[in-house]
Amino acid sequence: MRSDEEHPSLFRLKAHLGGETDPEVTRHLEGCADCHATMEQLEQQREAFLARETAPEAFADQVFRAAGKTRPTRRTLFPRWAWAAVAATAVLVALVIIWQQPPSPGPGPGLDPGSRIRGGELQLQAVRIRGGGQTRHVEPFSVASNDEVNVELTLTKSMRISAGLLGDDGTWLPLFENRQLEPGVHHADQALTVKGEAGSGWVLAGPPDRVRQAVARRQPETEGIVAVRVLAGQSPDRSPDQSR
Amino acid sequence: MSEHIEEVSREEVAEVYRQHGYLLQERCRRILRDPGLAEDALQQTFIRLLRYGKSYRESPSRLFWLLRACNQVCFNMLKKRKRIHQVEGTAYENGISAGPADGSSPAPIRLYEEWQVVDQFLHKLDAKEREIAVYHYLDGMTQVEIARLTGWSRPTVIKKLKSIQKRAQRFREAVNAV
Repeated sequence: MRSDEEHPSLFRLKAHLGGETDPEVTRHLEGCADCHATMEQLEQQREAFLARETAPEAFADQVFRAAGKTRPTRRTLFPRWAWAAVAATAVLVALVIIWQQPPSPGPGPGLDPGSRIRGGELQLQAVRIRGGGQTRHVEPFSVASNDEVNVELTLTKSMRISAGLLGDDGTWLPLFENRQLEPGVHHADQALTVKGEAGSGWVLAGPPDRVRQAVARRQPETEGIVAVRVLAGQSPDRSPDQSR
Repeated sequence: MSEHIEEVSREEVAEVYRQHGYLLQERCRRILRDPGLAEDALQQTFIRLLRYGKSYRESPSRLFWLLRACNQVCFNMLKKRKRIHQVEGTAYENGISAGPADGSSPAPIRLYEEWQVVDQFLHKLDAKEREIAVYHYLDGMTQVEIARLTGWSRPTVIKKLKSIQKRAQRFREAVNAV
């Protein structure tokens, strides 16, 4: 391909830049200033993107974490959580989180349980889905096998948020991972499903760095975090939940 | 399923993101018009890469494979949430260019201008037309490339593109008439 011949398509230039080396494009670029300029512009866009966005390795970590949430290989990803699903439910297990921990006595010291508002910007309600019905909780609530847990986040301004379930054993099950959310009410696309004997923990939400900190320290009391205590092992018909 | 995790390594995901992330993010933003949704779509595209790594590796064009996966994710999101056309002023309009901006290159700025028109009636196109529109106007693919990479016949691609162009023309005339 000479420079006076037809220019390669933009797609071909993008593929070439992305590593799909094309000898014809290479030859064309040597003699075509226009295409060369296009390539440089694409390269600049890529550099700007990499300078501006999440580092590739950190992004890969996020992808693996998010993928782990929806695949049935959870045992290998979260070995501390027992699996109780049987073969008949295996197909559904891709959406299932197994949560097995001994019951906990209740909220930790120093933590005011329930939904809290920080500067009026973020409000959290834990949503429990049981038997087709939903209940919203700002006070400690219980979960049992087959319950689903989601969050309802109300934002008054645009902000980046992480939210999820922090087990007392430190296991972190994300519902929102470093997501830019606009003002309004948000739910995670997929709820977490409790399978087997449920464990205790916290539904929490906040700025991603604070949430990371809280998860690393297993301390939902972290400044800037809103959290609702989840209690395990109570039978649904004895649940003392306060719901709205 | 466990072998899927082994199929595509963390390093490989990072490398694909490094090479193509900018293109994928931009098209997610352009199609969805919502930076938050676009971030989700970008992540879901890479989750598809984890799940179907074998198919990615065997694709004649890895970039095309990614673009197609990205299309599926974005169009599924649009279908699920229904598009809100009023969402304007998102990040892509504030400096994330879809391509060369000076018009001097063979990558025609005309395509991006056309896309902005096509985007207005994208939801009215059938699934194949929508995909062809995105490949042509956003990704800069020729009719031949679209036919070769999708496996659709060239006459079909030409016919669909002509139909899209006619609609675009009608749309422009209707706007000018107001």
